[in-house]
Amino acid sequence: MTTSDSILEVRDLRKVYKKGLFSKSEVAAIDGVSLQVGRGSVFGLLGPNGAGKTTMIKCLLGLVRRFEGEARLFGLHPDDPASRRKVGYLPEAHRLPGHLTGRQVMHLFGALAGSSPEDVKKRVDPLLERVDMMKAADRKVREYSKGMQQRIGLAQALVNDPELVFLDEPTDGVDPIGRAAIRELVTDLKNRGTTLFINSHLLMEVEMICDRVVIMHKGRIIRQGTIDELTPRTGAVRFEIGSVPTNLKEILAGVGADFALDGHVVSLKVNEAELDQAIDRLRSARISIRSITQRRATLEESFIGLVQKGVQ
Amino acid sequence: MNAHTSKALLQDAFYQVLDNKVFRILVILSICLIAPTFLIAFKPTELDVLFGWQTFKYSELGVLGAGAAATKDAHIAAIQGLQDIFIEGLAGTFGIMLSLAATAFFVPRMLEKGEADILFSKPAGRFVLLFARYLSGIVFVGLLAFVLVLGMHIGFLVRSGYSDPAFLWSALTLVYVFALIHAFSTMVGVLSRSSITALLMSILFFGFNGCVHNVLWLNKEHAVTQIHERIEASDSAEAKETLEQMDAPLLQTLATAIDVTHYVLPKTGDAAFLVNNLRRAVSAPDFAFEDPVGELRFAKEPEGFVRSGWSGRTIDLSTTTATWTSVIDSSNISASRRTRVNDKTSSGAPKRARSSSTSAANELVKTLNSQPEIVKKAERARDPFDRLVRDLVTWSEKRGDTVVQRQRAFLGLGNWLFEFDFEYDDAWVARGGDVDALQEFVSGARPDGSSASSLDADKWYAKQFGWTSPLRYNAFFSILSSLAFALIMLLIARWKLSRIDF
Repeated sequence: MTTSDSILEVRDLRKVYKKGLFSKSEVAAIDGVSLQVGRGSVFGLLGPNGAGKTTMIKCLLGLVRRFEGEARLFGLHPDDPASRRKVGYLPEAHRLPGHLTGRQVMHLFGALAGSSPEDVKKRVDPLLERVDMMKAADRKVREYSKGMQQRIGLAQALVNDPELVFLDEPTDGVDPIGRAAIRELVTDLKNRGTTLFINSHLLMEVEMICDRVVIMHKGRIIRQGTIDELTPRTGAVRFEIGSVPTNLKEILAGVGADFALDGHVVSLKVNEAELDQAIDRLRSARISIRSITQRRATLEESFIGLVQKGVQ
Repeated sequence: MNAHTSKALLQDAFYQVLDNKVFRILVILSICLIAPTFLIAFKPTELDVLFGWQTFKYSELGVLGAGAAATKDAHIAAIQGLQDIFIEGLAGTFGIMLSLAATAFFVPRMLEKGEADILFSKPAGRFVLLFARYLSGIVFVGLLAFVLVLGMHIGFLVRSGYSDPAFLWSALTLVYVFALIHAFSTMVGVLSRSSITALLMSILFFGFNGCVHNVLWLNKEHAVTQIHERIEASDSAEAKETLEQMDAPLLQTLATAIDVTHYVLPKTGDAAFLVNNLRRAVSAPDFAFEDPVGELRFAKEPEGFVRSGWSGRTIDLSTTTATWTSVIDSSNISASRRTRVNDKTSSGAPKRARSSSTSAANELVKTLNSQPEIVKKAERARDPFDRLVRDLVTWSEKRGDTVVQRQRAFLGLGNWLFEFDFEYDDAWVARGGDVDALQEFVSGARPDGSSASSLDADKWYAKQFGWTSPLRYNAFFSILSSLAFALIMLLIARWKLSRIDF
């Protein structure tokens, strides 16, 4: 990817905080991060608490200033407000102005984002409908539940029809139905070519939504890649079989290791040659094989493994 | 920032204000202040409560500025007194303090985590968003001031028939005073990011600022001017000694410190004087004529007399004797002024002294009583009233075949002695004339001097303060230096805001 293709670029980004007002010791919230993001992908930003995920997003959005290295949004420095013109942001634990109604929030943030009144007007109702807040749109935000605030927060992040959206814990406080709706919304955005940055601790959700994942730890990126790249095969193969004879263990004796039976599912740890051998033996015993799947590590397993390795 | 963004920010400010509970309470309080202006009618001689339910003569009340009845209509004095109490007193102090308390959290809350993240991630400059919050506070007070001042104005107009367009400026001066203190509150809000700190500091600053201008600086200026006036007038050793004491390093340092603080801080205390200046400029003068050199104003002309040989609102009574002639006969009244300062030599040293109105009257009595044409001996009576002491000498003299009744009033003011003469014949009363015409005319005389010795500190400063006054008392300087202070506060807030990592 060339620099001109990327809508987000950070190079050797470093943000250091002093530990106290008079202290000389410093702590690096971000320590030399480099990242380039093209259009239309969904990025999962993972990392334990204090990894520097939110700080990196804030550096890009101009909320955190005076950092070292380089950061660019749409080719512009974050200190330039114009860099955020095509950006939507839903911060973690955000607080919307309680004196406004949901609809007024949408209009205010639409205007602040630089959209024309006509565009804002056109987009408010469909977005409120989309996040299922139409009925509560004319109630004051302070009367909303946490889930409702989260949904209005998400809607305001999209009111300017952004090309790049940062979502920090977007499903926090939202019920399962709401989560499904948010996932659907994210998928829609992805299909429309919007680039999304999702920062979440719910790794299953990230796994379901994201194309690429960046894992940060102690201010550094320790791994990035597609979900497939980050979830390697474990070598375990699962056979779903039609019938389970009593001598199944004997039939497969000597083939692979870690034999396990769970109903009609047999698990075995095998290499490629052993896989063929296991299929042959099952077929020879007239056992029908309904499916064969190679088991991968979950994102959670990979994440914990990487972080623990990082700690060591 | 485009027009749409500005409009949205203004709208947000408006919603924020309307949503504020303290604002609603203050609106109710304002309505409570407005209500009496609709329920009480200030008629020329009495107060009419609840459409005739009760009436009170001003003389029975003795408050609400009715003491000024001699210089202007009593009901106008009462209304202006009420306006001063409500606007300068209640709204200008308690109202501003409550508004500061209600708006102090606007900026710190905006900078709290959660709200700041979402707001400052938008493509609007940080200062634009801060200024919008500053503006919210001004909208807050602007709406309240508008409701209060316009409501009172309409109330007085409808029920009392009194309209003073200059009073409407009070709304603007309330906003002006608040805007100055609110700039400080905004700066503290950004520096501390704490609502409580911003609230406490703003109220403390408001009190301290008022104390510096209205108490320390104003009284210092008044006292120093008084001493200089005394030296100039009498060259007294006591005054010189006081001046020498004032040169002591400690006092000099103190005076300089007060001066510096006064010049640096916003001059919120001048707001009331600004309104009064505007009121004076807009309203019709409340006097018939004045002698600016002698610093004396007259509320009315002698009743039943017309001017003879002079016109206009100003006259120098030391060079021109003002004369009035009766509309029914040749009786006349005249007014003149002369110096009452005498240079004497006392034990070898030159000394200046003033002769009193009493000594001038006694001298006249003495002179008259030795003259053969005096029919009725001259007598002196004193008539002290409202800081002016008048001495009245009455006598009768024979002029040809007729006896002429004479009255001469003496009035001492500053370095001047005013003399008022009244002569009429014996048939004056029979023709419907009033023998008290002179006394009634002179009772309308009011000192209008600007000398520190003759006025209290507030009134003296009101005289000094103006659009063309020297820098220290200049209205333009007061406004510009105060606005500069507010601007510096906002610039500091801007600088700090640009360095905050949210």
